[in-house]
Amino acid sequence: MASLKTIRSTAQYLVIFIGIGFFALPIYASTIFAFQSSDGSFSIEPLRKAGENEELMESLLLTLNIAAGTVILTLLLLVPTVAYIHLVIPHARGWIEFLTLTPLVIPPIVQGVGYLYSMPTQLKATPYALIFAYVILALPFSYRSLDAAFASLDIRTLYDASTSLGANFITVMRKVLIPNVLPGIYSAVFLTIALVLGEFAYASLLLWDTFPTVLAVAGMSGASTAVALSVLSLVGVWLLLNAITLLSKPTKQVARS
Amino acid sequence: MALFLGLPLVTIVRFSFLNSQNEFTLNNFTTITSGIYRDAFILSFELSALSATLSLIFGFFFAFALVHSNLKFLQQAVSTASGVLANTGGVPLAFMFIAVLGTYGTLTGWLKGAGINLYGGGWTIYSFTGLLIVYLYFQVPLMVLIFLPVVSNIKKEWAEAAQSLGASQLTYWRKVLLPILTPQLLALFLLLFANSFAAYATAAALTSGSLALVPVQIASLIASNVQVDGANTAMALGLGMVICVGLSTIGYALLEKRSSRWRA
Amino acid sequence: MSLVTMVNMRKEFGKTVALDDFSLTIPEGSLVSLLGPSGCGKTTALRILAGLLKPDKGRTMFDSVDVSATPASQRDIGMVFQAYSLFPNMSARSNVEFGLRTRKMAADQIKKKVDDIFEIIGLGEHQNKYPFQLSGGQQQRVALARAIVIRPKVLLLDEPLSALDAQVRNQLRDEIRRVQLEFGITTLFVTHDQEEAMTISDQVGVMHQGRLLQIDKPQIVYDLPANPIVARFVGAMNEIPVQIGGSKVTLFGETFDIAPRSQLSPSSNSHLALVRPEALTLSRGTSQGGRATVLRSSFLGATSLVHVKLDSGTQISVHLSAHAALEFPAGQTVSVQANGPQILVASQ
Repeated sequence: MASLKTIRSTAQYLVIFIGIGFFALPIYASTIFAFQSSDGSFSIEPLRKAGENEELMESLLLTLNIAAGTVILTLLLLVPTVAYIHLVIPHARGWIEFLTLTPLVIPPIVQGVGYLYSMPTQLKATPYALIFAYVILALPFSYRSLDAAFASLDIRTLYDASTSLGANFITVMRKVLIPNVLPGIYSAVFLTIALVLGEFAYASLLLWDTFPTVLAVAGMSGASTAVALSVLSLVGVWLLLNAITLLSKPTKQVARS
Repeated sequence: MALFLGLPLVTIVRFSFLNSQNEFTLNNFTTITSGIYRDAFILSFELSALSATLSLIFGFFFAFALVHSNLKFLQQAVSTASGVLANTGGVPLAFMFIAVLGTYGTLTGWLKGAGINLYGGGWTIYSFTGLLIVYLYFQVPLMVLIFLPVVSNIKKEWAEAAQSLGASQLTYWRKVLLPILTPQLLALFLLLFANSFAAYATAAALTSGSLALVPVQIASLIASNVQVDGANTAMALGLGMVICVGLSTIGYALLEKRSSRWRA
Repeated sequence: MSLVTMVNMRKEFGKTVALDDFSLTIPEGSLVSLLGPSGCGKTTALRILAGLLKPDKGRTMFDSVDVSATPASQRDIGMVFQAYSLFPNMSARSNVEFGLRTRKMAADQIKKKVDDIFEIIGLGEHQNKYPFQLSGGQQQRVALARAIVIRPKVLLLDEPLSALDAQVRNQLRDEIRRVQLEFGITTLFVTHDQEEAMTISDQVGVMHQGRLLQIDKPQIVYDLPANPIVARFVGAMNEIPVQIGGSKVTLFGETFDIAPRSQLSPSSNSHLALVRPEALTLSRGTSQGGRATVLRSSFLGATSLVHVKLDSGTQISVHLSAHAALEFPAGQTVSVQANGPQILVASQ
């Protein structure tokens, strides 16, 4: 019995080890590729080059702005909507969730083509119009995070309790509901940011120079710069995510108790 | 949503049935079901089915091992990493893998040092298997991301009740746990399949269009105006993708709904 | 059906001692409850008995057979958990059949046994439903059927009622006792609800911080608690500050013997008399006994609980027949007397 257990836990750690290796190896190997010069010493030369590459820096800034816009629009649209759905039409939740899956049904490349051929020119004149497309692209993920957070609360009771104490809808949202669904809001925000930072199909079809599209072009020419930025963007977003998850932990516990 | 999702979809459908003179035709569908476009669908299908299967299996064991290890911080780190890889993946992943397994990649070099010449047999990272490996790096994370909470929600009472009723570990897995998870695993397979089928960025950045997956073909048809009815063919291809991806996504949602009532 | 014994069990989780020199005997065919607050070790004891946990020390015996090394799957036990224990992918009937199938019983025999058990448990019309289609009470009944259909040597019930509503809880409680007596199954019942334990058990064991403080018939645990901890945990208890002298205690002007189970610390000179509400009587006026004022009464049906405030400021409750309680409206001045001959005292 004991030996069987040992075998099982050995296998378990082996799987974990392989799994982590699976994730870590390419990151490690590409870090070496990017930052090691031919003589074996490490340098941040590729980063300096990237910093000097104005086009790359502009695209990064543009993408960050689009990400911020997408997050803001998503929250403004979704938080009140999800609250309303849970408060007023909870029976329709199943259908609405189904509806929010539709962006997954149409691949981004196809959405992009359709967008290109159907939208008025005003909506193709500025890269910031991408925000609308990205809000929809992120909808399946952002909606689910928020929906789950609201579902874990007894929102009806909270709402009734606060209104019985004289609060109006805005106050209830601001003081009661939003603080309680913060973990869901955080996760919706991360997923949206992660998605925008990587979105390629729309941007490349509409010929906008966002970070992923410029990176893709840069990759063709100066490989080590592209690799360095690739690794940095993935690891950077990951660290950011972890940091914010850690920060949001206490709120989570409050929400649960 | 109607505007930004409905309008493009209607446009896609409409253009699929027109030629460049805006006359009704079914030719686009003849085009996409033959020759290179048919091959593109087959290639996309193969890649998606394979990457979905492999990531399902690998993610399954990884998620179980993680949950049973009780290492909370590790679970947290892996699930955020999965979130990043599954969503941001695309282009950065492609370049990372050129650095790792490309002709002058780090791992290629190491393996050469160990006497294994990856490129000796004509293999390249830009091939089907190369692309498959890179796809696993956003497919496995997606699997882990969704499957981790599922594993965490497995009630320990099930195992204990089975044990108390005289079942061995094997019987418990065979008769209880796997049947409970089966609808969910099927659902996840469909989701992974759809995710892979719809993916564009990785293939575009890694192979610059040399591996003719459906999305790659669409993009190149749109970008170049050489072909007669090119845009319309692209729309028809898009409609084909919507059907493939849509059916799997809907299947996923239905199965997911079915299995979720067990968790109530 | 067996005589079940656990001997000198010890179990630690990190720094917490979950079981400390714990011994328990469950006579063949009887129902023994372990009662205590959460974290007292009662569930640990049950899980060790089931074979789901390995003790650091101690032995488990079924009759004269040492099963300490036997895994749970070969111990021949039936278990009912708090909730969620039914296999969600199987109908109620398949759940009940599961244990018989693992025993490789012939199909016709399985059919007969399962039909019989559904007859007894009375869920025949629901047997093809899935757990998510059943109410909480129905699910627990199916779980009970699944556990006893295999005719286990011992039935282990881990707070099976605590997730149910009051009414269903009482029904199922009586049902468990009925079935247990009908089959004569040796049973261990773990609960934090004293009423549950008191009503259905042959013996009740009270646990505190990993130790079994007292185990006896419900009536004896109630009337003659082994020590103040048991007394306070089982039933309602008034705590009245008193003076003691030698082996005597003075309460409401009368002198009583200090009960031998009292816990007196020599260093303390602050003591509490522990008196049950029904061991007190009230009379109008202030002739004798402790002077008090009636605060209010809680009507309980056949009886009432009269809450009074002693002149010393201590609030106590007195259990009277509902009729008798009518004589003591709020505000009435009364005198309180205790029924002897012994009073349980605890030092603070």
